[in-house]
Amino acid sequence: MTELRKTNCHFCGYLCAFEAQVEEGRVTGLVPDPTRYPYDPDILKGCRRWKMNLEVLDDPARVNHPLRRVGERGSGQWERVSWEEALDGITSRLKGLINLYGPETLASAIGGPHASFWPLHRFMSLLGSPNNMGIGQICWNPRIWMDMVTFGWTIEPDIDLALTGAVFIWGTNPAQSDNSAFWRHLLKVARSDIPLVVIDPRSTQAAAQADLWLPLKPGTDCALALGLLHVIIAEGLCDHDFVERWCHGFDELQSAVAPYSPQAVADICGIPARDVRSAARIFAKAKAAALVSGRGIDQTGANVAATHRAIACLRAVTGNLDKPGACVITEQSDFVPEAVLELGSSLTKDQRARCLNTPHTPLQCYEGYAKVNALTERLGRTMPLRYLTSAHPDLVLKAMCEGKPYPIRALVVQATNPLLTYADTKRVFKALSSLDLLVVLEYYLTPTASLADYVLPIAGAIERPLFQAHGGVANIAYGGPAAVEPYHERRTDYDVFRELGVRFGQESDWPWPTLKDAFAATLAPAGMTWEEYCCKGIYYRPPAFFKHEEPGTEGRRRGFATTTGKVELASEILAELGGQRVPTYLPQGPAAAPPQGPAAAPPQGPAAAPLTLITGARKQPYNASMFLGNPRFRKAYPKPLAEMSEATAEAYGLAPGDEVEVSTKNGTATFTFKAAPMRDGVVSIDYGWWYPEWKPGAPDFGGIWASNANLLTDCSLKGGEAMIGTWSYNALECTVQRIRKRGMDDPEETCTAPVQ
Amino acid sequence: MTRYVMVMDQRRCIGCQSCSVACRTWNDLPMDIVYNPVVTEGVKGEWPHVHVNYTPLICMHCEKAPCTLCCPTGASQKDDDGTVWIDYKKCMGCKVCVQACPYGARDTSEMSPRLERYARKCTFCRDRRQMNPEAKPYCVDTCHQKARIFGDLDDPESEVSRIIGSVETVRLMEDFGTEPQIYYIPALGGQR
Repeated sequence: MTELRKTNCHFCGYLCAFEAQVEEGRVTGLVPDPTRYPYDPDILKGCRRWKMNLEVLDDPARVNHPLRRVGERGSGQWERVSWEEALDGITSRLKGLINLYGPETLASAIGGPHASFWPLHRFMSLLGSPNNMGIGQICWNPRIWMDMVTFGWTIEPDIDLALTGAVFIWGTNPAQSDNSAFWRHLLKVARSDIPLVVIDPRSTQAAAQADLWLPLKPGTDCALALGLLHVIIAEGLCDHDFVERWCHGFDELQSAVAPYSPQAVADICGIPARDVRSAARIFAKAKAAALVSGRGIDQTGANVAATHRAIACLRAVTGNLDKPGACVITEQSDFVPEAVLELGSSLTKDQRARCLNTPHTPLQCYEGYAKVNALTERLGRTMPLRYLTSAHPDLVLKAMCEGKPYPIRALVVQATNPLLTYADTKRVFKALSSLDLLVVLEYYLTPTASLADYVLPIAGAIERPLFQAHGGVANIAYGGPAAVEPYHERRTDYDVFRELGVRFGQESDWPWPTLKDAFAATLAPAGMTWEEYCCKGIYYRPPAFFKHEEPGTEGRRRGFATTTGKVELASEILAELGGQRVPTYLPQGPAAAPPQGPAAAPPQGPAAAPLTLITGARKQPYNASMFLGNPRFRKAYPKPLAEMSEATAEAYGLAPGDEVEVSTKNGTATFTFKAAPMRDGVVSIDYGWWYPEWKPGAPDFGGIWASNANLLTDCSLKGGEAMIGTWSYNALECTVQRIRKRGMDDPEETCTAPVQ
Repeated sequence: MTRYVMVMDQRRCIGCQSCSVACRTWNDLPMDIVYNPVVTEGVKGEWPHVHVNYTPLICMHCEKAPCTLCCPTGASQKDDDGTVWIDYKKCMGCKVCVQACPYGARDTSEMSPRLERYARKCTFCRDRRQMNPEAKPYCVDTCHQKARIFGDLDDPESEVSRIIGSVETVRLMEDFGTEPQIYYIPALGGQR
C-alpha cells in the first residue's frame, strides 16, 4: 500500500514542498507538490538538488549510529555506541569540564539553514554558556543590526511588478543562491520595463539581465552607497517630505557624503562616474525602488556596517521605506519568537558578562543587544538573542588555543563543517584538535566530524518536521511534517539537546517530548494547529505598510523604534556604543590598484602582481561545503574553479584548465582556472571544496589542505568591523601562479602536509 | 456512500462576507480570485415590506460537472464523495473548464506567483477534510449566522438531509442539467 505524504526538501533554505510515496515506513518515490511553496513544479524541474533526497535518505555513506572515537583524534577509529552511552559519555565529560572551568567552557558552532538552532541555544542558555559561535557576523547579522539601529526593526524587499519602479540587486546572484521563486520573479522584472541595476564585480546571470551593471572593485560597496547618497542629495532627489517628518540627522549625513562626488566614487570603485549618477537617479526617481543586498556585502569586513547603514539611509532619504513596491518593515511573529525559545532570559547577568565578545564588539554582545532591544521593545518587538550575540570566532579560537581570557575546552558543532566553512582553516584545525570534547551532529563523516570525539547521526529532510522562521524577525514560518520516522538510529537535533538537557537537570524546561510537539506549541499563539500548518506548508500574515503613520501612544504617531522615534540617518545608539553616527568609508584591501584591461600589462612571471580575491560565490548544484559527494554533480563539475576575466588571464598567461595556486598572506590553495566575465584584476574562487571520496581523517581530512578557500582567509578581530566584528572574505590581496598539470584525483600528489 | 452538499440558508444570511474573507485567508487567495462571493440584491419591495437578498455563490460541485468532462488532462475531477477539485499536478492552465462552468466558479489568477497558471476554485476545503475527516469547510466554520450547513446527503440522519427533506429548497439554474449540489433556502421561502 503506497501512501502519499506531504513533506519538504531541506537542501537549501526554501524548503520546497513535495510528496513522498511511503511504503511500510520507507520512502520509495518523490513528486513535486504544487499546492505548497513554491507553487510551481517548474521550479523543482530547474533544481538539481531536490531529487537527491531519495539517495541521501538511505546513502550508505551516512552516519547511522552514534560513534565514539577510540584512537587518536582524527585517526578514523570509531566504536559504535548506543545513544544512551553517547549522551551519558558527553554529559559526564562536559560536567567534568564545567566543574573545572565553568559553563562558559562549552562553545558551539552553527552554519547553514538545514537545522533548528534554538534547541542548541536553549540548552546552552540553561547551562549558562553565552559562547555560541555562528556565521552571523558574515551573513545576516550586519544587515539585521544596521536595519535595527536605523529603522528600529528589519525590512524585507517588496518587489511588485505593478508598483516597483526600480530594482537593485547588490552583491548577490539569485540565479545560483536562490534558483527558486525569487529568481523567477526577478527574471520577470528583467523582461519588464522596470530598470534592473546589478552591483557585483562578477558578471553574474543577474548582471546579464541588468539594464545597468556596476562592476565595482570588491570591498568598495560602502563608497558606492555613499556616492549614490551624494548624487541624490546634491541633485535634490530626496523625498523631502519623508526626510523632514521622519528622518533624524539629515544635515550630518549630508556633510558625511559630501566628499563622495561621482568622480571620487568612480576613482575608489573603479566604475565610470556617469554610471554612479545614473544609478542614483534610477533609484531616487522611481515611484518605488526595491533593493536586495546579499552575502557579497555582508562579507566585506571593516566596511560592512557602514555599507548597510548607507544602504539604509539610501532607502530612507528616498522615502523607499515601509512603502509598497519598495520594502516593508516586518513584524514580530504571532507564534513564539526565537528569542523566547532560546530562553536567553535564563542567562544570569554574570553569565552574560562572561561572553567573549564583551568588550571587543560593542554591538554584537549582550550589552549591545540589551541597548538596542530596549528600543525595539518600544514597539513590541523582541530581537533574536543568540544569533545577534554570537561569539566571535577569533575570540573563541583564542580561548581554545591559549586559554585566554578563560579556557574553552568543549565544542558542539551543528549543521556546519568549520574546517571548510570557518575562516583560517589552519587555526580552526589547531583549535579543534586541542579540545577536550568535540561533539559533531552530522549526516556524513565530514572533515570536522572525523576530528570529533562523538559523532551523532542526525535526521535530515523527510525524516524530521520543518519550521523555518527567519530567525524570528518576521511573521512567517514555513515547512511541513516528516513523512517517515528517522531511518536507522538517527534522531532530530531537538531530541539530542532535550536528552542532554534532561541529563543536566533541565527537565522542566523541555516540556515537549518531540520536535513536532515543540513546533505545535510554538505555533499555538498564532491560532494555527500543527495539522493546519502542515496542510498549507506556511504560516504568513503580511505586514502592513506605512506603519509609522499609524496612531501611537500619547496622541503621537507610531514612528520608529529608535532613540528619536525617527529613522536615524545619524545613529544615536551607535554613537552611544562607541561607533560612527553616520556611515563612513574606510579604504582597505589591496593597496595597489589592480590593472584594468590588457593594455595595462602587469608583470609576468612566477610571482605576479597582487590580484583582488573574492570568495564564497554560490554555485549550483553545490551549497557551501555540501553535496560534493554526489557522483552526478561531481561528474558535471569535477574541480574547484578560480575564475578571472579573459583579459586578466591573458595578462597572467593562463589558459582554461590550467591549475593555479592562489596565495594570500594566510596560505595557499589549488584551483583550476576558468575564464569568466567579471571585473579585470579580480579572482573569484569556489568555496567549501573538499573531496568526500578521499579517506576521512588524518592526514588529509578529506582534502581540507588542497583547495579550501578558507586556507586563504583570516577571521582576526583586528582589521575587522569595529561594532560587529565582521571579517573579510572578499577584497583580499592574493597572487595567482600557474603550476604544472597534476591529477587532482590523486591525494598523494596534491595535498600538503597538515599543519600541526 | 457519501455525497457532500451545502445548504445556504438565505433567511439567515446577513451579507457580511465573513465566508469570503475566511476562504481568502485559508486559501491565501490573490486579489483577483474569489471562490465564494456574496451577491447583494435590493432593496426590493415597497415600504414597509422591503428586503435585501443575499446570495452566497460558490462552486456548485455539480453531480454532472461540465468542468470535469471537458478537462483534457483529467486534472478536473470528482471524488467519490462528490467533491469537484483540480489536481495541480495535472492542470496545465488551458482554461477550458473556466469557459465550461455555467456558474463562473473557476478562474485563473494573473496576480500571484502562487498557482498562477492554474484553474482554481472552491474544493469544499478538501485539504482541511483530508487533514481531519471531521473538519468542515472554513466558510462553514466561520459563518456566525449558521447560514451555511455542510454535510452528507446520503446520510439520512445528517442536518443537510433533514433540512432538504423538510424545507423548500432551490438550486441555481437547475435547467442546465448539471445537478448542482448547493441547496438554497430562499430568504422569503423556507415553507413546504
